[in-house]
Amino acid sequence: MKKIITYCFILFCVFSFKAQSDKSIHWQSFNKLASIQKHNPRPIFIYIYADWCVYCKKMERVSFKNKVNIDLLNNKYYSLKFNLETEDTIIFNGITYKNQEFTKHRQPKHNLAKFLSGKQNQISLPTIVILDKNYNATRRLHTYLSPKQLNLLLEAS
Amino acid sequence: MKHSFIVVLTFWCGIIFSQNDDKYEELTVKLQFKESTDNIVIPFVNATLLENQKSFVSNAEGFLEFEIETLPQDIKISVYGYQTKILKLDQNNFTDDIIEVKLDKDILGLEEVVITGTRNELSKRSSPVLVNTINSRALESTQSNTLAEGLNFSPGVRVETNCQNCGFTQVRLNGLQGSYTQILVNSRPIFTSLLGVYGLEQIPVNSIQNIEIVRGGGSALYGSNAIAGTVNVITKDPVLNTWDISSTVGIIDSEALNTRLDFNSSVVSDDLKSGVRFYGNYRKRESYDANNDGFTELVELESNSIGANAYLKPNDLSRLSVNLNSIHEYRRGGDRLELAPQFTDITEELDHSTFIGGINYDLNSIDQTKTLDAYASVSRTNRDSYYGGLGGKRTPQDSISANNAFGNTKDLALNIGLKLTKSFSQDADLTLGAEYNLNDTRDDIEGYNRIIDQQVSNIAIYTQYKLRFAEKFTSLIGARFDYIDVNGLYQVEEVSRTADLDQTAISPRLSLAYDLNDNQKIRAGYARGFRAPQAFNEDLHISSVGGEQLFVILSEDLETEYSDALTLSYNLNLNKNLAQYDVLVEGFYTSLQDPFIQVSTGAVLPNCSILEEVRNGSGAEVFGVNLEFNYSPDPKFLFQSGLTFQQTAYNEPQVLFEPDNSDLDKVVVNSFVRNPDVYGFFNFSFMPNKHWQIDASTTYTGSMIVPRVINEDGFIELNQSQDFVDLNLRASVDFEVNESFKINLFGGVKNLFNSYQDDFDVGPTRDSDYIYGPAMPRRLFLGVKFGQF
Repeated sequence: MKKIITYCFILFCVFSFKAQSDKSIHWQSFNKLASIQKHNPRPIFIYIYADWCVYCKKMERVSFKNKVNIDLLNNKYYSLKFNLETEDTIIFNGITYKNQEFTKHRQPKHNLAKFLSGKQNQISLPTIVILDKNYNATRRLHTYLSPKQLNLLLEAS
Repeated sequence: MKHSFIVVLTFWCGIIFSQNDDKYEELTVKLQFKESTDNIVIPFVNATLLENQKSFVSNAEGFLEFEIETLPQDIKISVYGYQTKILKLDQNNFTDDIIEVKLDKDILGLEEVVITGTRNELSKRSSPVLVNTINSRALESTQSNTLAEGLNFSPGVRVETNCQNCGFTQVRLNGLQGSYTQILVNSRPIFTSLLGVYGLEQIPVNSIQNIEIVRGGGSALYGSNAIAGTVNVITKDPVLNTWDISSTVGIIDSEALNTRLDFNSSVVSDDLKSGVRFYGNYRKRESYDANNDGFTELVELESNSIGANAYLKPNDLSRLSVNLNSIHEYRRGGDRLELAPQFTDITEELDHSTFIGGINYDLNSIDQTKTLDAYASVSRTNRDSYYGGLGGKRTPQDSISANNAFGNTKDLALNIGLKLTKSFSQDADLTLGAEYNLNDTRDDIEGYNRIIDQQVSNIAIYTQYKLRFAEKFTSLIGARFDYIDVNGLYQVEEVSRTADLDQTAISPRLSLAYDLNDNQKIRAGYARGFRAPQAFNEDLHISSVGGEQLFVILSEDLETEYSDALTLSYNLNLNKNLAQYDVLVEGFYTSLQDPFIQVSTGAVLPNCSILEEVRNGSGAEVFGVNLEFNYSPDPKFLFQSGLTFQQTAYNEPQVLFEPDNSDLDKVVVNSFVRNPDVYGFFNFSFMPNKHWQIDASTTYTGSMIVPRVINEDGFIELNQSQDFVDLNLRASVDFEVNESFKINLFGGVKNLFNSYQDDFDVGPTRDSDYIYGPAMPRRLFLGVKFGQF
């Protein structure tokens, strides 16, 4: 009996540590997404930003620092982010995406951003896209979200 | 008993049910919002009932349920990123089930937005009136401490210093004097005559987001004093929480120390509905004597300024903002600055205290076709002055005069206005506005019996209609109707003048723009303007010459000045891969009828002060060409340049000096003084990475005629100045310590070639207005800024 209680107590402590909120978002990498999605599928949260986007910075300082949101982003979704103008090649859902505008435009838009937002030309940021476990887009937004609005979005999807 | 109970119960039930019958039956609307292309749900969509303006927001799954009272209902559906839609519900299509509403994506423009040219926000490229902008990055790269310095870096604009003893500056657009330019802050005029004398230097750069300059009379919306154009200083709402503190130290010609301290902070709520920006600065500059004659060429100056801008957006359609600003500035020039003014040979000492406050309210209609803008601002300045001194002599009379040269000026300005706009379609919009301005100035120097007591009130209504009447033509037609009432008493010693006039004037304007193609645009414009006789900013400034004071008074039969301005320009904007080009060729012509001219009459007042009179001159013309070329091969390099060629001419030779006696000759000029025929600027910026920036900037001022008073009667000698090249170099580097703290270090040199006037007048009897060319000799500077910015 004592042993059982001790083990329960230890388990309880372990679980209570786990249940504590993380301090920051664990952003996943696109390379590992395919394998973690296979083993433990979850809906996907993608955030697209740029250096010059002031509203993105506001979200990063405020909405993404909210404890409840951090919790949801770390535990309910796989959360990924990328810069609209990145040169990197990204493989997503088995398809390779590059930035073909790289030396041709002052704001070179990555193909993955174009695909996810559904727009070819003006992409307004911040862009948030939520996909279900099968990579189907279920939500798409192009505005600043306050902590409360982000929370509503994350709870609902 | 039981029976009664049942009866009562039935009775009560009857009442309750009958009340239900009387209750109006409400209909429940259920909407599901989805994207038209791929059926994804759209969260947080706004739905507004057009009949009573009640509005609702959908949840994160794009679902919205609400009650309406009647059918039919028009519901406006809007959400950022999608095209707005009006949903019409009527008996036929209404259902209790969920109604699916599909929305199409919207394409947003990312071009720079410009406000001034048509008084409404408009993309820079499509504005029918040519607007040049200087943004805050440019102000930083040219190490401009004040608005005055920054304005030199736009084509057709020159800022000059007009007085060694007080450092009074004015901005000249297309060759015309400062009083022909209207200075606005957030599209509202807050510069009064008095603030205009020194005000250009008092607006600190850290509160400026953008400066928009419209040259050449296409601005009859802002007031008839905008004959030469408008300079609109725009501040923007903050988004992020930021703070920064910066400190700069400079040394002028290895002698005079210049220090500056600035702070800025902004706080914005998480929902972006309210925010505030605080700013403040402190500046101290030691005086500078260029020719070692004991008299300053640059005044000693100490100023501090503090302000706040706050805003509140109660909903998506409205915005309320308040701004408050307090400026305190002390200046002193002349000789022996350590003594009290009345013991020196010349002193000009000014102590300004200004308070500016404003409030404005913006409202948009639900369908976004109408806007309303209501505003009010007030500015109050108190200026203690001393213009005088012993003048090189030492008699008891001189001492008494010197002791009596203290003065005081009080100035109050009020500006209230209302503006309405309506868009009829993408191609046509109408603006209507009304404005009331009041300016009350009282300037008193008892010792000279000098009084300016002036009230100017002005009521105006204006209208403008912009129409795109063919695929490639956009036209703008507008007019402003002004009623001005000037009441003034102008007195110095025994000479006394009054003005009591009221005047109405209509100032029309017309602009036409033609798109040659997507990249090239031709614009033409005409505008009429006027200025009613009143004491303008230069008159409130007192010079010293020959050891005596020089006063300006208005002539008795001073008449209104009129102007006609024409501009024609060609603009090319080209983007090819990463490179961007911008070319502008603009011709301008302004004709002035009865321009105000300051004439030295040779009259000497009993106390030996010299009197100049403002009279109507014969007509004059200013015409020329502005060329601008900007090129950026990739985001790392930016090259901007502008050059102006101009000619000025009076219709008849203009008298500058008219002697009382026949010993001396008249002094006449054919063209404007202090106006070079050629002037320009050039900026080059190199940004190799996110952390470094290196800038080189220059202004070029060609040779010009500068008048110099050379004797006690006010006789003027006309000198031809040399040309000047004022080159500045600056380097800046950022260190990011962590996500929320950054340090910026910067340093460099201004006026590297020390291109500076070398023939300053000497001693207590000098003409203190004989100053021209670059404002300062070579100056080294170094600074640091830190915070989260």
